[in-house]
Amino acid sequence: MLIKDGIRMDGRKPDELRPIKIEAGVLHRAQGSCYLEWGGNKVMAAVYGPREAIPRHIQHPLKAVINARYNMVPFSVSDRKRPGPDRRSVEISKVTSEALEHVVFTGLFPRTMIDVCIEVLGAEAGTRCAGLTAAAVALADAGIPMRDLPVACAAGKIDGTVVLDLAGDEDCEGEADMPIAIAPRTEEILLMQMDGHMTYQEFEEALELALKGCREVSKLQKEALLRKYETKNEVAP
Amino acid sequence: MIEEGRLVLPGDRVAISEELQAGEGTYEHGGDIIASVAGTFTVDRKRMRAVVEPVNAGPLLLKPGDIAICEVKQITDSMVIVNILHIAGRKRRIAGSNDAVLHISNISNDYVESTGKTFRVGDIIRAKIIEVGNGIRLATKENNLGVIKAYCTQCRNPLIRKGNVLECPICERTEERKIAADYGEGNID
Ligand SMILES: [Zn+2]
Repeated sequence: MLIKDGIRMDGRKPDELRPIKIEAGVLHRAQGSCYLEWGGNKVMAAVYGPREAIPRHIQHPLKAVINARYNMVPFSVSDRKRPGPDRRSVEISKVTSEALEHVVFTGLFPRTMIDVCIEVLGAEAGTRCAGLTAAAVALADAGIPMRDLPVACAAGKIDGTVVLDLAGDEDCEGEADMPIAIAPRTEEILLMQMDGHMTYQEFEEALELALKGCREVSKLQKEALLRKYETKNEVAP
Repeated sequence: MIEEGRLVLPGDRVAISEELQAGEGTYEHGGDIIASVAGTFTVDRKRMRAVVEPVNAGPLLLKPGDIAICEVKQITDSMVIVNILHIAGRKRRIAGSNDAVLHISNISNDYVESTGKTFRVGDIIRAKIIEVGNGIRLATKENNLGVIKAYCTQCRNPLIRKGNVLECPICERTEERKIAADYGEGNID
């Protein structure tokens, strides 16, 4: 039983997010960075570049290549995982890179590479959404020109009910999970994946809920960036 | 149009295209002028453009007209290949490759007999960027452009200007260069 009388195991209502904390610009050595906690997820994103893409054969003559690298550190999950990229990490890195390429003005930096390192220090459920959300803040913090500040959130189905932002047990035992990423200004969808089964009506309901979640997380991203720059402005002479 | 001086983030609308054109740090989409970087919104009234001044120094984009300080890396019959070290008036690092090319036809308004009589490997030169699209291309035709510091090809001692040529104070040999008007003064901005 994952939901009882409209209340989930962790006390949330179906349309409620887990607690989220975002901090922009935490690493000094990266051009831009972000630390994010989302439920039990702890993610650090760092941006390096744009710099000359090496080896040269990966260069694109007209635009920058976004190289997102999603990595789960070995102590992030309870059954200690083997270090290095596994199939899942490679897949998440690829879809994250593609989503970010849609918003970054890559044409401004031909033949370069922008590295986006996403380190998952603690994992619960929804790390790909947490990673992409943190990466977006880190890119903005790095001063990389973008159309929009992308944001991600998932919705899914547990015990026949469509819910927002699945937590650990809900992800394992639920019927469906659907992470999405959007450009919030236009609500254009940058990424959409689905694990499990939903009816068309449930899908529409889940999409609406995921969009609502994205809007809420987007607000937190913006607050985190503004908080950093407003304090910076106060310190400046 | 939003209030000037406000902090904005990528994706924030700052004006509509009837009011202002998109300047640096902004872009136009569907009649809206939207911020593309995190920064402070200002209006360039001369050109009626919306500008977002970045809060954090992002990557430096080279553009035609920029004055580059470069080190000569290689010389061929028709080209001088340099490494851009610095852009005058800017503190930021350069995004991407710093390689640039100066073609013999862009070196001087006077006749250039050979590239080797205008520049030597290791020279520090000031050049103007004339193209960035298909590799960075430079020119040094103007008076203030050319070598700003050069070393003796024999003993590597800094050369001193003597009229239209450079002279080595140690071995007293003279060398030809395309010399910038302020040779040896150390101006890089
Ligand atoms: Zn000498």
